[in-house]
Amino acid sequence: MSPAVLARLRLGGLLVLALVLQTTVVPDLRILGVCADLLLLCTVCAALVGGPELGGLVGFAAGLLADLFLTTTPLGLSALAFSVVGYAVGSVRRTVLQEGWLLAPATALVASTAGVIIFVLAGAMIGQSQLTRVGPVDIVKTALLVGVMNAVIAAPVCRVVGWAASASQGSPGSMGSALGSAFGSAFGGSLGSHRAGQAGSEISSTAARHSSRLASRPAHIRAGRGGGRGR
Amino acid sequence: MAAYRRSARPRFILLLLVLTAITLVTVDTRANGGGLTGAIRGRAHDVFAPVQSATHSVLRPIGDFFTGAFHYGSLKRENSQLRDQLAQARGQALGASDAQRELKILSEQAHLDFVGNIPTVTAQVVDTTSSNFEVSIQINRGTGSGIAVNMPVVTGGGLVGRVAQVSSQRATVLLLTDPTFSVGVRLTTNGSVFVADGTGRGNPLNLELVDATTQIKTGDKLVTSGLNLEQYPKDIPVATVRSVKTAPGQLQQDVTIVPTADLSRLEYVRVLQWSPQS
Repeated sequence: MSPAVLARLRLGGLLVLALVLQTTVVPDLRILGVCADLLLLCTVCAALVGGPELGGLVGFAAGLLADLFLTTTPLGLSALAFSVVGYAVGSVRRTVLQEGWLLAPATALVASTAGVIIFVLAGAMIGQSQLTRVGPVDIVKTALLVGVMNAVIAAPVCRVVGWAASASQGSPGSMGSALGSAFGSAFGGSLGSHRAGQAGSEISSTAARHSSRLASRPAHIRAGRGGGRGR
Repeated sequence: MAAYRRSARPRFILLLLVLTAITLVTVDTRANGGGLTGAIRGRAHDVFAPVQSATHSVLRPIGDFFTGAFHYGSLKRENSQLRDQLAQARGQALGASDAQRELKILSEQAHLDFVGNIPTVTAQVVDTTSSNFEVSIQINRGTGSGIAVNMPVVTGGGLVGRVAQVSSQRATVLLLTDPTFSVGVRLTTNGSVFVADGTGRGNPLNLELVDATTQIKTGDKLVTSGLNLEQYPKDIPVATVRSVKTAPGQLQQDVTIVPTADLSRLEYVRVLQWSPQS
Protein backbone atom coordinates (compact mmCIF):
# COMPACT_ATOMS: atom_id res chain seq x y z
CA MET A 1 0.00 0.00 0.00
CA SER A 2 1.38 3.37 -0.92
CA PRO A 3 2.43 5.74 1.87
CA ALA A 4 -0.09 8.35 0.75
CA VAL A 5 -2.98 5.95 1.17
CA LEU A 6 -1.65 4.84 4.55
CA ALA A 7 -1.41 8.41 5.80
CA ARG A 8 -4.90 9.15 4.57
CA LEU A 9 -6.25 6.03 6.26
CA ARG A 10 -4.52 6.95 9.51
CA LEU A 11 -5.92 10.47 9.45
CA GLY A 12 -9.40 9.18 8.62
CA GLY A 13 -9.21 6.60 11.37
CA LEU A 14 -8.10 9.26 13.81
CA LEU A 15 -11.06 11.47 12.91
CA VAL A 16 -13.47 8.54 13.35
CA LEU A 17 -11.92 7.79 16.74
CA ALA A 18 -12.30 11.44 17.70
CA LEU A 19 -15.95 11.33 16.60
CA VAL A 20 -16.67 8.23 18.67
CA LEU A 21 -15.07 9.78 21.75
CA GLN A 22 -16.84 13.09 21.10
CA THR A 23 -20.26 11.44 20.94
CA THR A 24 -19.78 9.13 23.93
CA VAL A 25 -17.33 10.09 26.67
CA VAL A 26 -16.58 13.77 26.08
CA PRO A 27 -20.17 14.96 26.80
CA ASP A 28 -19.87 13.30 30.24
CA LEU A 29 -16.93 15.60 30.98
CA ARG A 30 -18.77 18.90 30.93
CA ILE A 31 -17.62 21.86 33.00
CA LEU A 32 -20.30 24.56 33.43
CA GLY A 33 -22.34 22.75 30.79
CA VAL A 34 -19.60 22.96 28.15
CA CYS A 35 -17.48 20.14 26.77
CA ALA A 36 -14.31 20.06 24.66
CA ASP A 37 -14.50 19.70 20.88
CA LEU A 38 -12.09 16.98 19.74
CA LEU A 39 -12.93 17.30 16.05
CA LEU A 40 -12.19 21.02 16.08
CA LEU A 41 -8.97 20.28 17.95
CA CYS A 42 -7.95 17.67 15.35
CA THR A 43 -8.51 20.30 12.66
CA VAL A 44 -6.29 22.82 14.45
CA CYS A 45 -3.56 20.22 14.99
CA ALA A 46 -3.68 19.04 11.38
CA ALA A 47 -3.33 22.65 10.24
CA LEU A 48 -0.34 23.14 12.57
CA VAL A 49 1.32 20.01 11.24
CA GLY A 50 0.43 20.21 7.57
CA GLY A 51 -0.35 23.81 6.64
CA PRO A 52 -3.44 25.47 5.17
CA GLU A 53 -4.31 22.83 2.59
CA LEU A 54 -4.32 19.88 4.98
CA GLY A 55 -5.96 22.08 7.62
CA GLY A 56 -8.81 22.96 5.30
CA LEU A 57 -9.36 19.39 4.12
CA VAL A 58 -9.19 17.83 7.57
CA GLY A 59 -11.43 20.62 8.86
CA PHE A 60 -14.02 19.84 6.22
CA ALA A 61 -13.96 16.11 6.95
CA ALA A 62 -14.01 16.61 10.74
CA GLY A 63 -16.82 19.14 10.53
CA LEU A 64 -18.88 16.85 8.33
CA LEU A 65 -18.46 14.00 10.81
CA ALA A 66 -19.48 16.32 13.67
CA ASP A 67 -22.51 17.48 11.67
CA LEU A 68 -23.75 13.90 11.30
CA PHE A 69 -24.40 13.86 15.04
CA LEU A 70 -26.03 17.26 15.38
CA THR A 71 -29.77 17.70 15.17
CA THR A 72 -30.85 21.32 15.03
CA THR A 73 -28.16 22.72 12.74
CA PRO A 74 -27.96 21.79 9.04
CA LEU A 75 -25.42 19.32 7.69
CA GLY A 76 -22.34 21.24 6.51
CA LEU A 77 -22.33 24.10 8.99
CA SER A 78 -19.50 22.70 11.12
CA ALA A 79 -17.72 21.63 7.94
CA LEU A 80 -17.84 25.24 6.77
CA ALA A 81 -16.59 26.67 10.08
CA PHE A 82 -13.88 24.04 10.63
CA SER A 83 -12.42 24.24 7.12
CA VAL A 84 -12.10 28.02 7.47
CA VAL A 85 -10.39 27.55 10.86
CA GLY A 86 -8.07 24.87 9.45
CA TYR A 87 -7.08 27.06 6.52
CA ALA A 88 -6.53 30.13 8.72
CA VAL A 89 -4.42 28.28 11.30
CA GLY A 90 -2.38 26.66 8.54
CA SER A 91 -1.68 30.01 6.89
CA VAL A 92 -0.77 31.76 10.13
CA ARG A 93 1.41 28.85 11.19
CA ARG A 94 3.51 29.26 8.06
CA THR A 95 4.15 32.95 8.43
CA VAL A 96 3.71 34.11 12.01
CA LEU A 97 3.93 31.45 14.71
CA GLN A 98 7.14 30.27 16.34
CA GLU A 99 8.00 26.68 17.18
CA GLY A 100 7.91 25.87 20.91
CA TRP A 101 6.15 23.83 23.56
CA LEU A 102 3.50 26.53 23.94
CA LEU A 103 2.61 26.50 20.25
CA ALA A 104 -0.02 23.76 20.30
CA PRO A 105 -1.93 24.85 23.45
CA ALA A 106 -1.88 28.54 22.57
CA THR A 107 -3.03 27.96 19.01
CA ALA A 108 -5.71 25.51 20.19
CA LEU A 109 -7.00 28.09 22.67
CA VAL A 110 -7.32 30.90 20.17
CA ALA A 111 -8.38 28.81 17.17
CA SER A 112 -10.99 26.75 19.06
CA THR A 113 -12.55 29.87 20.56
CA ALA A 114 -12.62 31.46 17.12
CA GLY A 115 -13.98 28.25 15.59
CA VAL A 116 -16.97 28.14 17.93
CA ILE A 117 -17.72 31.80 17.29
CA ILE A 118 -17.43 31.33 13.51
CA PHE A 119 -19.83 28.38 13.78
CA VAL A 120 -22.39 30.49 15.65
CA LEU A 121 -22.04 33.51 13.36
CA ALA A 122 -22.24 31.40 10.18
CA GLY A 123 -25.30 29.68 11.65
CA ALA A 124 -26.92 33.00 12.50
CA MET A 125 -26.32 34.20 8.94
CA ILE A 126 -28.21 31.26 7.47
CA GLY A 127 -31.12 31.72 9.86
CA GLN A 128 -30.23 29.38 12.74
CA SER A 129 -31.42 31.96 15.25
CA GLN A 130 -31.47 29.47 18.14
CA LEU A 131 -27.65 29.61 18.22
CA THR A 132 -27.66 33.27 19.21
CA ARG A 133 -30.72 33.12 21.46
CA VAL A 134 -28.62 32.49 24.57
CA GLY A 135 -27.06 35.96 24.18
CA PRO A 136 -23.55 37.17 23.32
CA VAL A 137 -22.19 36.72 26.86
CA ASP A 138 -23.09 33.03 26.96
CA ILE A 139 -21.76 32.45 23.45
CA VAL A 140 -18.38 33.98 24.31
CA LYS A 141 -18.31 32.06 27.60
CA THR A 142 -19.01 28.78 25.80
CA ALA A 143 -16.42 29.54 23.12
CA LEU A 144 -13.75 30.42 25.69
CA LEU A 145 -14.44 27.27 27.73
CA VAL A 146 -14.15 25.13 24.60
CA GLY A 147 -10.88 26.95 23.84
CA VAL A 148 -9.45 26.35 27.31
CA MET A 149 -10.48 22.68 27.41
CA ASN A 150 -9.07 22.07 23.93
CA ALA A 151 -5.84 23.84 24.93
CA VAL A 152 -5.41 21.52 27.90
CA ILE A 153 -5.41 18.41 25.70
CA ALA A 154 -3.82 20.02 22.64
CA ALA A 155 -0.21 18.86 23.08
CA PRO A 156 -0.83 15.07 23.02
CA VAL A 157 -3.50 15.35 20.30
CA CYS A 158 -1.06 17.32 18.11
CA ARG A 159 1.57 14.62 18.53
CA VAL A 160 -0.90 11.94 17.47
CA VAL A 161 -2.11 13.96 14.48
CA GLY A 162 1.51 14.67 13.54
CA TRP A 163 2.22 10.96 13.60
CA ALA A 164 -0.85 10.15 11.53
CA ALA A 165 -0.06 12.74 8.86
CA SER A 166 3.63 11.94 8.51
CA ALA A 167 5.72 8.85 7.87
CA SER A 168 6.21 6.02 10.32
CA GLN A 169 9.27 4.88 8.37
CA GLY A 170 11.53 6.72 5.97
CA SER A 171 11.73 10.49 5.79
CA PRO A 172 8.71 12.47 6.94
CA GLY A 173 9.04 14.60 3.87
CA SER A 174 8.15 11.97 1.32
CA MET A 175 5.07 10.93 3.23
CA GLY A 176 3.69 14.41 3.67
CA SER A 177 4.33 15.20 0.04
CA ALA A 178 2.63 12.03 -1.11
CA LEU A 179 -0.31 12.88 1.10
CA GLY A 180 -0.46 16.32 -0.42
CA SER A 181 -0.45 15.02 -3.98
CA ALA A 182 -3.06 12.41 -3.09
CA PHE A 183 -5.40 15.06 -1.71
CA GLY A 184 -4.47 17.24 -4.62
CA SER A 185 -5.45 14.66 -7.18
CA ALA A 186 -8.63 13.81 -5.29
CA PHE A 187 -9.90 17.36 -4.87
CA GLY A 188 -8.13 19.51 -7.39
CA GLY A 189 -7.58 17.25 -10.36
CA SER A 190 -7.83 20.16 -12.77
CA LEU A 191 -4.71 21.71 -11.32
CA GLY A 192 -2.50 19.05 -12.83
CA SER A 193 0.02 16.80 -11.23
CA HIS A 194 2.91 19.23 -11.32
CA ARG A 195 1.23 21.77 -9.09
CA ALA A 196 -0.15 19.08 -6.85
CA GLY A 197 3.32 17.71 -6.29
CA GLN A 198 4.65 21.14 -5.57
CA ALA A 199 1.98 21.84 -3.00
CA GLY A 200 2.62 18.40 -1.57
CA SER A 201 6.25 19.20 -0.97
CA GLU A 202 5.11 22.41 0.65
CA ILE A 203 2.96 20.51 3.12
CA SER A 204 5.77 18.09 3.75
CA SER A 205 8.10 20.88 4.71
CA THR A 206 5.95 21.91 7.65
CA ALA A 207 5.37 18.29 8.59
CA ALA A 208 9.08 17.68 8.61
CA ARG A 209 9.74 20.86 10.54
CA HIS A 210 7.24 19.87 13.16
CA SER A 211 8.22 16.27 13.63
CA SER A 212 11.98 16.45 13.32
CA ARG A 213 12.45 19.69 15.27
CA LEU A 214 15.68 20.26 13.42
CA ALA A 215 16.78 23.54 12.01
CA SER A 216 14.35 24.53 9.32
CA ARG A 217 16.82 24.75 6.45
CA PRO A 218 17.82 21.05 6.23
CA ALA A 219 14.22 20.03 6.76
CA HIS A 220 13.17 22.15 3.83
CA ILE A 221 15.84 20.72 1.63
CA ARG A 222 14.94 17.18 2.61
CA ALA A 223 11.28 17.89 2.11
CA GLY A 224 11.97 19.30 -1.31
CA ARG A 225 13.73 16.12 -2.38
CA GLY A 226 11.00 14.07 -0.77
CA GLY A 227 8.47 15.93 -2.86
CA GLY A 228 10.26 14.80 -5.98
CA ARG A 229 10.25 11.19 -4.87
CA GLY A 230 6.70 11.24 -3.66
CA ARG A 231 5.48 12.16 -7.06
CA MET B 1 5.01 32.50 -10.69
CA ALA B 2 6.02 29.80 -8.23
CA ALA B 3 5.17 32.05 -5.31
CA TYR B 4 1.77 32.72 -6.83
CA ARG B 5 1.07 29.01 -7.17
CA ARG B 6 2.11 28.32 -3.59
CA SER B 7 -0.50 30.64 -2.18
CA ALA B 8 -3.21 30.08 -4.78
CA ARG B 9 -3.68 26.33 -4.40
CA PRO B 10 -4.72 26.14 -0.73
CA ARG B 11 -6.96 29.13 -1.33
CA PHE B 12 -8.58 27.38 -4.27
CA ILE B 13 -9.16 24.30 -2.14
CA LEU B 14 -10.63 26.40 0.67
CA LEU B 15 -13.00 28.01 -1.82
CA LEU B 16 -14.01 24.57 -3.06
CA LEU B 17 -14.62 23.32 0.49
CA VAL B 18 -16.59 26.37 1.53
CA LEU B 19 -18.79 26.13 -1.56
CA THR B 20 -19.37 22.43 -0.95
CA ALA B 21 -20.30 23.13 2.66
CA ILE B 22 -22.70 25.88 1.68
CA THR B 23 -24.30 23.58 -0.89
CA LEU B 24 -24.76 20.91 1.78
CA VAL B 25 -26.23 23.43 4.18
CA THR B 26 -28.66 24.62 1.52
CA VAL B 27 -29.70 21.11 0.52
CA ASP B 28 -30.19 20.08 4.15
CA THR B 29 -32.10 23.22 5.08
CA ARG B 30 -34.45 22.70 2.13
CA ALA B 31 -34.93 19.02 2.96
CA ASN B 32 -35.83 20.12 6.49
CA GLY B 33 -34.29 17.15 8.27
CA GLY B 34 -35.60 14.59 5.77
CA GLY B 35 -34.45 13.78 2.25
CA LEU B 36 -31.01 12.55 1.33
CA THR B 37 -29.09 14.37 4.06
CA GLY B 38 -31.54 13.13 6.70
CA ALA B 39 -31.05 9.58 5.43
CA ILE B 40 -27.26 9.99 5.57
CA ARG B 41 -27.44 11.17 9.16
CA GLY B 42 -29.71 8.26 10.09
CA ARG B 43 -27.40 5.75 8.41
CA ALA B 44 -24.39 7.21 10.23
CA HIS B 45 -26.17 6.89 13.57
CA ASP B 46 -26.91 3.22 12.88
CA VAL B 47 -23.38 2.46 11.73
CA PHE B 48 -21.83 4.09 14.78
CA ALA B 49 -24.36 2.76 17.30
CA PRO B 50 -22.52 -0.46 18.26
CA VAL B 51 -19.12 1.26 18.44
CA GLN B 52 -20.57 4.01 20.62
CA SER B 53 -22.23 1.53 22.96
CA ALA B 54 -19.00 -0.41 23.37
CA THR B 55 -16.91 2.73 23.91
CA HIS B 56 -19.35 4.11 26.41
CA SER B 57 -19.58 0.94 28.46
CA VAL B 58 -15.79 0.72 28.61
CA LEU B 59 -15.17 4.40 29.39
CA ARG B 60 -18.22 5.26 31.50
CA PRO B 61 -16.19 5.09 34.78
CA ILE B 62 -14.16 8.10 33.56
CA GLY B 63 -17.29 10.21 33.25
CA ASP B 64 -18.60 8.97 36.58
CA PHE B 65 -15.29 9.77 38.28
CA PHE B 66 -15.28 13.24 36.74
CA THR B 67 -18.85 13.90 37.87
CA GLY B 68 -18.00 12.61 41.34
CA ALA B 69 -14.92 14.80 41.61
CA PHE B 70 -16.64 17.97 40.42
CA HIS B 71 -19.91 17.55 42.28
CA TYR B 72 -18.68 15.89 45.46
CA GLY B 73 -20.35 18.36 47.82
CA SER B 74 -23.75 18.22 46.18
CA LEU B 75 -23.65 14.42 45.90
CA LYS B 76 -22.91 14.10 49.61
CA ARG B 77 -25.73 16.47 50.51
CA GLU B 78 -28.07 14.64 48.20
CA ASN B 79 -27.09 11.32 49.73
CA SER B 80 -28.04 12.44 53.22
CA GLN B 81 -31.30 13.93 51.93
CA LEU B 82 -32.12 10.67 50.21
CA ARG B 83 -31.40 8.68 53.37
CA ASP B 84 -33.79 10.93 55.22
CA GLN B 85 -36.46 10.55 52.55
CA LEU B 86 -36.00 6.80 52.49
CA ALA B 87 -36.59 6.57 56.22
CA GLN B 88 -39.78 8.63 55.90
CA ALA B 89 -40.96 6.65 52.92
CA ARG B 90 -40.50 3.35 54.76
CA GLY B 91 -42.80 4.60 57.46
CA GLN B 92 -45.39 5.84 55.01
CA ALA B 93 -45.30 2.74 52.84
CA LEU B 94 -46.78 0.68 55.64
CA GLY B 95 -49.84 2.88 55.87
CA ALA B 96 -50.13 3.56 52.17
CA SER B 97 -50.42 0.11 50.67
CA ASP B 98 -54.19 -0.04 50.97
CA ALA B 99 -54.69 3.49 49.64
CA GLN B 100 -52.39 2.62 46.78
CA ARG B 101 -54.51 -0.32 45.74
CA GLU B 102 -57.59 1.87 45.71
CA LEU B 103 -55.83 4.58 43.74
CA LYS B 104 -54.66 2.06 41.17
CA ILE B 105 -58.18 0.85 40.53
CA LEU B 106 -59.47 4.41 40.30
CA SER B 107 -56.80 5.60 37.92
CA GLU B 108 -57.27 2.56 35.73
CA GLN B 109 -60.92 3.37 35.45
CA ALA B 110 -60.57 7.08 34.83
CA HIS B 111 -57.18 7.12 33.05
CA LEU B 112 -55.93 9.68 35.52
CA ASP B 113 -52.36 8.76 34.72
CA PHE B 114 -51.27 11.43 32.23
CA VAL B 115 -50.15 8.89 29.67
CA GLY B 116 -53.65 7.40 29.61
CA ASN B 117 -54.05 4.68 27.01
CA ILE B 118 -51.47 5.99 24.55
CA PRO B 119 -49.08 3.15 23.64
CA THR B 120 -45.52 3.81 24.84
CA VAL B 121 -42.03 2.53 24.11
CA THR B 122 -39.55 2.49 26.97
CA ALA B 123 -36.01 3.37 25.90
CA GLN B 124 -32.65 3.73 27.57
CA VAL B 125 -30.66 6.94 27.26
CA VAL B 126 -27.34 5.97 25.66
CA ASP B 127 -25.60 9.28 24.96
CA THR B 128 -26.04 12.98 25.50
CA THR B 129 -25.35 15.41 22.69
CA SER B 130 -21.78 16.16 21.64
CA SER B 131 -22.72 19.77 20.93
CA ASN B 132 -22.47 22.81 23.16
CA PHE B 133 -25.38 24.53 21.45
CA GLU B 134 -28.15 21.99 21.41
CA VAL B 135 -29.69 20.03 24.25
CA SER B 136 -30.55 16.50 23.21
CA ILE B 137 -30.10 12.85 24.12
CA GLN B 138 -29.80 9.65 22.12
CA ILE B 139 -31.99 6.68 23.01
CA ASN B 140 -31.51 3.05 22.07
CA ARG B 141 -34.79 2.59 20.18
CA GLY B 142 -35.61 3.66 16.64
CA THR B 143 -38.03 3.08 13.78
CA GLY B 144 -37.66 -0.65 14.47
CA SER B 145 -39.56 -0.13 17.74
CA GLY B 146 -42.22 2.07 16.19
CA ILE B 147 -40.70 5.44 17.03
CA ALA B 148 -41.28 8.32 14.62
CA VAL B 149 -40.21 11.95 14.45
CA ASN B 150 -42.16 14.40 16.65
CA MET B 151 -43.40 11.81 19.15
CA PRO B 152 -43.52 13.19 22.70
CA VAL B 153 -41.04 11.78 25.23
CA VAL B 154 -41.81 11.64 28.96
CA THR B 155 -40.55 10.27 32.26
CA GLY B 156 -42.48 9.75 35.47
CA GLY B 157 -41.70 13.40 36.22
CA GLY B 158 -43.40 14.78 33.12
CA LEU B 159 -42.55 15.96 29.62
CA VAL B 160 -38.90 15.56 28.60
CA GLY B 161 -38.95 16.54 24.93
CA ARG B 162 -39.78 15.24 21.50
CA VAL B 163 -38.16 12.90 18.98
CA ALA B 164 -36.22 15.08 16.53
CA GLN B 165 -34.43 12.46 14.45
CA VAL B 166 -34.83 8.73 14.10
CA SER B 167 -32.86 5.93 12.49
CA SER B 168 -33.54 2.22 12.61
CA GLN B 169 -31.83 1.64 15.98
CA ARG B 170 -31.44 5.10 17.50
CA ALA B 171 -33.47 8.22 18.03
CA THR B 172 -32.42 11.71 19.03
CA VAL B 173 -34.67 13.40 21.56
CA LEU B 174 -34.63 17.19 21.71
CA LEU B 175 -35.07 18.23 25.33
CA LEU B 176 -37.41 20.92 26.66
CA THR B 177 -34.52 23.25 27.38
CA ASP B 178 -33.17 23.30 23.80
CA PRO B 179 -33.36 26.81 22.33
CA THR B 180 -35.45 25.53 19.39
CA PHE B 181 -38.03 23.91 21.65
CA SER B 182 -41.45 25.35 22.37
CA VAL B 183 -44.58 23.78 23.80
CA GLY B 184 -48.11 25.00 24.46
CA VAL B 185 -48.86 24.88 28.19
CA ARG B 186 -51.84 25.48 30.43
CA LEU B 187 -51.78 26.86 33.95
CA THR B 188 -53.50 24.31 36.19
CA THR B 189 -54.79 26.98 38.60
CA ASN B 190 -56.95 28.90 36.14
CA GLY B 191 -56.61 27.28 32.71
CA SER B 192 -54.81 30.17 30.96
CA VAL B 193 -52.82 29.00 27.94
CA PHE B 194 -49.26 30.10 27.08
CA VAL B 195 -46.23 29.04 25.06
CA ALA B 196 -43.09 27.90 26.89
CA ASP B 197 -39.70 28.30 25.15
CA GLY B 198 -36.41 26.57 25.92
CA THR B 199 -33.42 28.85 26.45
CA GLY B 200 -30.46 26.50 26.64
CA ARG B 201 -28.83 23.82 28.77
CA GLY B 202 -29.57 24.14 32.49
CA ASN B 203 -31.53 27.38 32.02
CA PRO B 204 -35.18 27.76 33.04
CA LEU B 205 -37.77 28.00 30.27
CA ASN B 206 -39.45 31.29 29.40
CA LEU B 207 -43.20 31.64 29.43
CA GLU B 208 -44.37 33.85 26.59
CA LEU B 209 -47.24 36.30 26.36
CA VAL B 210 -48.26 36.37 30.01
CA ASP B 211 -50.22 39.61 30.26
CA ALA B 212 -50.08 41.74 33.38
CA THR B 213 -53.53 40.79 34.61
CA THR B 214 -52.91 37.00 34.67
CA GLN B 215 -52.91 35.52 38.17
CA ILE B 216 -49.69 33.51 38.33
CA LYS B 217 -47.32 32.88 41.21
CA THR B 218 -44.19 30.91 42.07
CA GLY B 219 -44.90 27.20 42.46
CA ASP B 220 -47.88 27.08 40.07
CA LYS B 221 -47.95 23.98 37.87
CA LEU B 222 -48.09 23.92 34.08
CA VAL B 223 -49.26 21.03 31.90
CA THR B 224 -49.40 20.57 28.13
CA SER B 225 -52.39 22.41 26.71
CA GLY B 226 -53.30 19.86 24.04
CA LEU B 227 -55.00 22.48 21.92
CA ASN B 228 -55.96 21.69 18.35
CA LEU B 229 -52.93 20.53 16.29
CA GLU B 230 -50.61 20.87 19.29
CA GLN B 231 -47.74 18.38 19.08
CA TYR B 232 -48.34 16.93 22.55
CA PRO B 233 -51.33 15.19 24.13
CA LYS B 234 -53.24 17.02 26.85
CA ASP B 235 -52.30 17.21 30.54
CA ILE B 236 -48.67 16.02 30.62
CA PRO B 237 -46.91 17.82 33.49
CA VAL B 238 -44.32 20.21 32.04
CA ALA B 239 -42.95 22.66 34.55
CA THR B 240 -43.33 24.64 37.76
CA VAL B 241 -43.22 28.42 37.91
CA ARG B 242 -39.92 29.57 39.36
CA SER B 243 -40.12 33.34 39.21
CA VAL B 244 -42.61 36.03 38.24
CA LYS B 245 -41.53 39.60 37.60
CA THR B 246 -43.60 42.53 36.48
CA ALA B 247 -41.71 45.63 35.54
CA PRO B 248 -43.69 48.82 36.24
CA GLY B 249 -45.58 49.99 33.17
CA GLN B 250 -45.07 46.71 31.31
CA LEU B 251 -47.98 44.95 29.67
CA GLN B 252 -46.45 41.52 30.15
CA GLN B 253 -45.04 39.60 33.08
CA ASP B 254 -41.61 38.02 32.95
CA VAL B 255 -42.15 34.38 33.96
CA THR B 256 -39.52 31.63 34.14
CA ILE B 257 -40.44 27.99 34.71
CA VAL B 258 -38.39 24.87 35.53
CA PRO B 259 -39.18 21.42 34.07
CA THR B 260 -40.73 18.95 36.51
CA ALA B 261 -38.69 16.10 35.00
CA ASP B 262 -35.01 16.04 36.02
CA LEU B 263 -33.38 16.58 32.63
CA SER B 264 -29.81 16.40 33.88
CA ARG B 265 -30.02 12.77 34.92
CA LEU B 266 -32.15 10.87 32.47
CA GLU B 267 -31.63 7.12 32.31
CA TYR B 268 -34.87 5.70 30.99
CA VAL B 269 -37.55 7.57 29.09
CA ARG B 270 -40.91 6.66 27.58
CA VAL B 271 -41.77 7.60 24.02
CA LEU B 272 -45.50 8.14 23.51
CA GLN B 273 -46.61 6.74 20.16
CA TRP B 274 -48.84 9.68 19.54
CA SER B 275 -49.35 12.12 16.74
CA PRO B 276 -51.72 15.13 16.58
CA GLN B 277 -54.05 13.27 14.21
CA SER B 278 -54.57 10.24 16.42
